[in-house]
Amino acid sequence: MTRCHDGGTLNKVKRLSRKQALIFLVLASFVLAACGGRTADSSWPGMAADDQGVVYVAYGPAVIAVDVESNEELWSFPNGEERAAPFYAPPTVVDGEVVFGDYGVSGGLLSPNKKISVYSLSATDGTLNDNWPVSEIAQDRIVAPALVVGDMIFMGSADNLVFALDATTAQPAWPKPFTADHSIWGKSAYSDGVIYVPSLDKNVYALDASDGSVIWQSNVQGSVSDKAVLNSELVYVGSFDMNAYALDAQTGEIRWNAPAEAAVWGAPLYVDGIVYFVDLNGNVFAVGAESGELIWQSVAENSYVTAQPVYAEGKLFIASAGDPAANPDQRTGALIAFDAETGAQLWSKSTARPLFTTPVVTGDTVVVAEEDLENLLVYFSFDGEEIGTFPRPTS
Amino acid sequence: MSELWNLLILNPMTNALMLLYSFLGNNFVLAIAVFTILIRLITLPLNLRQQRSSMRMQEMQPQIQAIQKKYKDNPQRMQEEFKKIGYNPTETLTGCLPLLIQFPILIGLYRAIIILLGSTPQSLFELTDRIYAWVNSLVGVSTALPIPNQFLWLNLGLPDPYYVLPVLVFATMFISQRLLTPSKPKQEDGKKKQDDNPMSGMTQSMQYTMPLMFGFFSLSFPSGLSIYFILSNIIGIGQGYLTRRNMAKEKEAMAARGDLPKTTGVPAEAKATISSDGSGKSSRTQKRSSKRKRRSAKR
Repeated sequence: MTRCHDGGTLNKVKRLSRKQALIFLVLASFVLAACGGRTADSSWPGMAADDQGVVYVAYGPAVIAVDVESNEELWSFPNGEERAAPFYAPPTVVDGEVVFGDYGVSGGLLSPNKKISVYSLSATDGTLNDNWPVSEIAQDRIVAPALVVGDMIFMGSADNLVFALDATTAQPAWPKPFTADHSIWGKSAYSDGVIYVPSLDKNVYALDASDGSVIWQSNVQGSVSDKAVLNSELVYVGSFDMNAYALDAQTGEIRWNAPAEAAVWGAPLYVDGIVYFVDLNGNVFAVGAESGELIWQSVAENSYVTAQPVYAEGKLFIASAGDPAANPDQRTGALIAFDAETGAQLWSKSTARPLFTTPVVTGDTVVVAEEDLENLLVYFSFDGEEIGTFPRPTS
Repeated sequence: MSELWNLLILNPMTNALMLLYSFLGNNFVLAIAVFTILIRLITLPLNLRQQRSSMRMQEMQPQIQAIQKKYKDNPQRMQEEFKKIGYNPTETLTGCLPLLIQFPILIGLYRAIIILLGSTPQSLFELTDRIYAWVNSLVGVSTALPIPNQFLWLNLGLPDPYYVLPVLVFATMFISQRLLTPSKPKQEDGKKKQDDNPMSGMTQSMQYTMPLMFGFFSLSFPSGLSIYFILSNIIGIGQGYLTRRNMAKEKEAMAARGDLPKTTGVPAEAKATISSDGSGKSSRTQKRSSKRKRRSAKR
């Protein structure tokens, strides 16, 4: 520090430097705070189950298979040392194969492109099938689950593409991918040579499964972030415009829309002539599948809900992402059960962290995935008893 | 601190962009452009001050160096001489302030773009916690989101795959930096005067380093953020050009009035007292030492 005989000047210089140092410290703290928190390349876990009591979870660093009854990890992918892209898209399990995509790795130091890959593994041991993975099929993350129909795999990507791959050769099965106007996050549905694709561009598309050409498109006024559900002649979707829609599978015409009170994030659920759906604020609706007429309405109190409801033994299970009024960093989640016939709430069980992922039912267990540092999975009986947890893998 | 960050930077930015997007015909690029202009207006006083200070300091470098060389063992006198020529060493720090202020803005804008474009379900869900209730009721956020991500050949949430934006980021920043640096004076033979001023060397290298750095960064930035950079640099170019022109006019006016401040050349006092042998000793000290030498020689 400069020493001056004039103490006033010295003090002024000191004060000025201290003030600037303080400003710099504040700015540096801001910058550090900004750099913390969730990265742009993360999301909540994706989960699926097969009929053998095995749950497949894409939780970021890996995709793992867990036997629910023994609570053992059967395999983890990848299991090598090579750093893999994040995995969050729910795996699809069909005929002993597990198919999923990743969020991409950097294409190189000077490359603006990402390397996005799609994988097909053996469900038994998690090893890659021949000719897989396929890379450079898309430019942005695979958020949507794959649709597997026979020898074909249909998948949507976040860079607005829908593409088809041969399940055996891993080669593109269409002349070119279909391009929507925004990302595809939801799983498509299939019937009679047609795939029904929900998009964030506020449209549902019906595409010819053989070549990806458009048969019809239907505007539902709001983004569709979850899967299309098909039953007989109708395609059901939930929309951000606070409605659930039923579309004619042949023409795309809107047969009915059932209003909710907030955006409908999770897909509707069809069970025995009734369609159930939940809006973002936890309002639960049961409407007639053919008419869209309201049968009952209930509410999961103090809950954000992004997941699809699941059904087992006359009960609806809904995963809650926590209380909207709570601090986001301190939110807890819950699994809530409703009587599917009357809409009466049966029980509610808290979890350590919010539940965004659609639960799966395997045997007599409801499995939820949470973003807890300790536990990845929590198991509940149909009566609401917590019967176990699966710890989050450390590697 | 992260709550403060969300409260003061990220949430206001996200909502501002959302409002602009909605009011500007659902055009996100236009919203980014207007947002850039607003940010530049807010930081204009600081930027102008920093630019003028930077240009003035560049011009004073010969004087500053001479004073530093002469009074390196006498900090008190050095400070006094600095005061006389109107140089404040702490202004160097002030010059960094606009750049430091830009960092939270850049990071906030990067996060806001990722959130609004719905890059992942998690980031889109975050909006529910960030959008103000009054903005939601005004704009109808649930039906507006996510914001369309296509603009020309670009996906606004992804880097430019054809390197056009990184090149533009480099070029516009380079030009903007050049305008902040006074050009080197030329010698009689037309060549540029050799300048052994280390500050000058550092500034010259910064002209290339900073643009290269940001051009490299924008290889991996979302296109929307690169567009912000480019627009901000273009505004900076205009601003720098006007500042330079105004400063030149001010100098001319002051020269015409004979009020030119002592900001050019070496101070007369420093010149007069610089020894002929370049030792930096004052002439009085020199006289004393030569007197001592003569006495010792006689003995």
